[in-house]
Amino acid sequence: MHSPRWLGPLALCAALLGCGSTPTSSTPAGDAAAVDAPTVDALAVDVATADVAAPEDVPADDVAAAVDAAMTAGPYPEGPYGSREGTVLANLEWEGYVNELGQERSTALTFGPTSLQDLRGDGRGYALVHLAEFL
Amino acid sequence: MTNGGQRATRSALDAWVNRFDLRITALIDPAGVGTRTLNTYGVRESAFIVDLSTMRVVRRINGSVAGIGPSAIQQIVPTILELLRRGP
Repeated sequence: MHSPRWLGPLALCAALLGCGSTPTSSTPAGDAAAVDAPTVDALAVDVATADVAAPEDVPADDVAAAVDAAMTAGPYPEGPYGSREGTVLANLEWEGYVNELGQERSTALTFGPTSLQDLRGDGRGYALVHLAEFL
Repeated sequence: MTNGGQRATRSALDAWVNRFDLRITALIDPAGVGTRTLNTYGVRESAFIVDLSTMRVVRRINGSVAGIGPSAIQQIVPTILELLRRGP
């Protein structure tokens, strides 16, 4: 399922690409600006020179001590459990195919155990659970 | 999923996934627990939207066991799309 949260990063990429595009103005002023602008090679040298001193500003200890943000949900919520609206759905265990990307048929993936807690991810967003029966 | 009121087997799950070319997480009860999902969550054809931070059921729709009318999934998808549109 595609979350609209992707729209932010995609819009940002589009804006950055726009900054790097070649001006299309055919006015004399536009031509003059193009002549005065520094070449790509000159900009690259400036960036490379600035980067040389940067690593010394970051102590290696700080990098090693950095703590990653939590990528998993906390403990499974306490009961009482139920399946009606407003109740906490019980944490069950299952086996089958966990298809996070939806890019291929699920049976092409590894068959294995999982649980509702495993499927919570980082605890953000919503899950859609469907109960089906094979007849 | 269950299979005719019994615990579904892996072969039944595979047949179901392959028949509809499903590209979603598809699961069955593990061996030894019977129809635990059926007993705990309820009968088909039901759909839930769960808030992953609290695991509370935000919305539940029971479809028709006779296959009459729109399925629970058809009825509930607009709701989850709206929730995702709003963001966390």
